Formats: sequence, structure tokens, C-alpha cells
Amino acid sequence: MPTISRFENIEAWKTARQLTNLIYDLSDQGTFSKDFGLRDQIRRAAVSVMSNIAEGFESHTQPLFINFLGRAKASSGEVRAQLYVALDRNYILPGSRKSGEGMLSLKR
Amino acid sequence: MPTISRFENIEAWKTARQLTNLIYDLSDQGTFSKDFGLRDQIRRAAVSVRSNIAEGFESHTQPLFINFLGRAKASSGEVRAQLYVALDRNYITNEQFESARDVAEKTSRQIHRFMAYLETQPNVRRVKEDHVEYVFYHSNVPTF
Repeated sequence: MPTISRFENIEAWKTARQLTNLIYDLSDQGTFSKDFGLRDQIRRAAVSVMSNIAEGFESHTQPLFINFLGRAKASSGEVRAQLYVALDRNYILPGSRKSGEGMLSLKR
Repeated sequence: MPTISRFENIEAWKTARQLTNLIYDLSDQGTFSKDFGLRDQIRRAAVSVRSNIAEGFESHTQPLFINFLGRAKASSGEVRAQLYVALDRNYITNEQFESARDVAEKTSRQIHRFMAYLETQPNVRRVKEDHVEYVFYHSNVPTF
């Protein structure tokens, strides 16, 4: 089993990076891009998932790392909740919500 | 070996200052400057690195200092993570990304070395980082 010495190698971080890019793409298009409030919230939440995994890993103490991972997971829940808002307002298609959700479930 | 009693002289703090300026410059330009959310997040994280080093140094107790340094290091990881977002969204070039990531990693390394040193030196009143000696807990009379 390879040893992880950089957060860039953590699988959950890689998936979170993909998630952030997906959220940016989705919130860049059509009516979604006009809802500045939601666009800002969901983007911050997605970035927060990546950030908290990185912060936790760098903190180098296990209780703190677990704490940060908890926050990362919470932010990923936030992204999922906000995807439903985007779906309900017809900003995105049901398929795109599913692909976002597929990514989110990977982190559990 | 010079003795230092101000956080302004800590090598890691100086690098963190460089990092903050770099992040401000990068996030001031083009499309990056329009992504208010990310710009705000990455700037706060960069400022947090410096602030935590300063807070820790001023806290004048070693366990608290180590704790603050840990938070500073975590924030520098946060900056690095967010640089990837800026790269992926084409807000910054590959070269800009690499140079900023290098500064962020240098900051993390310096903080890490400092923490490791402090952990091996419990209850010392003078500490050193690389070639510099720091006084972080001493008499009430400041030395400059």
C-alpha cells in the first residue's frame, strides 16, 4: 500500500477536485449563472470540501484531521442540498444532479 | 546567532507574507478577480497563515504556539488546494500555479520544521528555526 505524503494523492481530494470543476461548469451556464447567491454558495461549498481535506492533512494531528474531514463531508452534504435547489429551479437537468451526487457518494 | 523577539523576523512568517502578496496579485487579475467567492476564500486562507504564526508567537506559551503553527500550516494547505481550483478554471497559468504552489509548500515546510523543533524542546525559553534563534517567552522587557 503506497504511503500518502501529499494531500494531492488522497482519493477523496481528487474526487473533490472533480466535483468542484463540475459545480463550476454547471453554475456557469444559463439561468444558474444568473442566480449569483446560489452560484456563490454552491461554489464555496465545493471549494470547501477540497480545502478542508487539504487543511486536515496538513494539520498533522489525527484528531484535527478527523475534525477537518468531518467539515469536508459536511460541505459535500451542503453541495448536494444545493444541487436540489438548482434542480427545483430548473437550472440543471436531473441527469446532472445525479452525476454530482455520484461523485459525492464516493467520499463516504 | 541572532536572537529574535518579534514575529516579523520569523522566516516562516516572511515566506507567508510573500505568499499573501502573491495570492493577492494573482487574484487581482482577469477572470480570477471576478470569482469573488474563490478570491475571498484564498485571500483569507493566505492571511490566516501569517496571522496564526503571529498569534502563536505572541501567545507566549509553547503548547499554544505549536497549536497556532498547526493552524497556520493547515491554512497554507488550504491555499494550495484552492490554487488547484484557480488552475482548473484557467484563472492562472501553469507557471503562475507552480510558483505559487512552491511558495505555499515552502511555507508549510518551514512551519513544519519549526513545530518539530519546538516539540523536541519542551519548556525552553529560546527557540531557533534554521539559522535563527527566537525568544518567544522571556521577560517583559522586549529586546529588538
